[in-house]
Amino acid sequence: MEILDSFRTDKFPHIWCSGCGHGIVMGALVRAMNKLDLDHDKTVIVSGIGCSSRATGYLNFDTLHTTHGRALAFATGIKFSEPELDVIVITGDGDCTAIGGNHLIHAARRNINITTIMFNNSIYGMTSGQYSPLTPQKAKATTAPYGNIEPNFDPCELVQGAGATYVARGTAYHIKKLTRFIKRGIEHNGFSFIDAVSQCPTNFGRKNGFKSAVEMMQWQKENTITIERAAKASEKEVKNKILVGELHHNNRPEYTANYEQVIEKAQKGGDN
Amino acid sequence: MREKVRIPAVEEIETKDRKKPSVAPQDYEPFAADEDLVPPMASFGDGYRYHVTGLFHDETGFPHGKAEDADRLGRRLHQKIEGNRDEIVEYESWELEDAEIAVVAYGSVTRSALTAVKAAREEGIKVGLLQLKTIWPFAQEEIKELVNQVDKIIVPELNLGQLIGEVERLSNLEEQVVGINRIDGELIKPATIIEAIKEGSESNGDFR
Ligand code: SF4
Repeated sequence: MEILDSFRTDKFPHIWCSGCGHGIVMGALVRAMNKLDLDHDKTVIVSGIGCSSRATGYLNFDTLHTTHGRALAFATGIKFSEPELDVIVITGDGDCTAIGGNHLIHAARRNINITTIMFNNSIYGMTSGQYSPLTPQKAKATTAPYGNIEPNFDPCELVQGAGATYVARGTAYHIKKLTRFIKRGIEHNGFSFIDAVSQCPTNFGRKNGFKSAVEMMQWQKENTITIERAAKASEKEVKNKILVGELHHNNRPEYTANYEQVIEKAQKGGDN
Repeated sequence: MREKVRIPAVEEIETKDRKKPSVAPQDYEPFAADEDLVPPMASFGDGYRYHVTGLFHDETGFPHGKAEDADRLGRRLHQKIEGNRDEIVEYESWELEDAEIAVVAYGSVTRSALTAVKAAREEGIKVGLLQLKTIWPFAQEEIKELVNQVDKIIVPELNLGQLIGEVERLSNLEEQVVGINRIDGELIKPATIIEAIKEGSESNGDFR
């Protein structure tokens, strides 16, 4: 399948700023889907609200651009009613961990077979740079001109704690790895979460001393460490570094499969 | 408080499927409506590969940031509701045929209202109940009929007066519509409604 077949090319140019990392992450998703040779008619892509969530408009699949934070809620409905469809969710860090935080926890807990790619630029870009739950403490935002006083948290640990069965982190810089993680996430039967660290030069970079998108990607390179290297490195080397890699992978019963069993039981008219 | 719920048997439930598109995927405009203002809708997975967004969009489903798209869409959705008023508006009425007083209730106050109406009927008062089950589109026609028929309309509400405004604007008689309002966390009791039914009607022999 040609890569371009995955796009609604008549919808370009896209709305993203030059240097934005979201196009890179969307590219990784498309390459991953292409490698898997997913049936374009049987793949549904769902997004929330924000810069990242505009990606659904450019992708030539059944696409659903929902309300803020609710991508996983809609996606759960789609997967539940048509379990044979591949359902992929595109969301941003604010959309996913603030407004949609509860949907995230419970999708992970249910282990529903949905792949979530969180485009993580640590800021609400579309609305001009308000801090999100993933804005690092002390970073500047339009709503934190003196520096963010709130501690951020690790969404990968959150979803793992809640029960996700595939958790990985890549970055716009580590594009090959990111593509691989998305591919594995789609292949995995259960709730998959991929934290895709991305850059927003316009509303995060400018406020935080980055002169260009390139500098931000350089930052991604220098401030991350792969879990393979981290395993061998000294504590000092790992400290304050963002872990990149497959952070968690296990198997347990999937939600729609469990539900299928309930339907069968009920239709047989047996005891509950 | 507990009570029974009756779940209808599968055979009793009528399934209405959405209209499906008859055109080829490349000609499909997911939000191009038929004459009834309802667009045929493909299911995800049918091969139509279309886009649904919460943003204002044109017939193709894509947003273009155009005021005229937003206007057209908003008006179609509004018309679709207005034009199907009769199918959407749901209500139930008790003892309204010969009623001279009516209670209009929406939601949980209906329980108290019905008990009150039944008790007042026992006493020979010609009172009935209109229970609204939908709030928009408003049961305009039914309320209009009621204001022409009865002398008094009582609107019990667990707030300081919301539904009453809708009823009042259809009434031409001064003081025809009276409210019973309660916001202390307790329910409106049937006795309070009975009191309101009787108020001013004692001296009127016609009610008995
Ligand atoms: S505001 Fe930031 S996240 Fe949004 S498109 Fe521009 S660079 Fe990308």
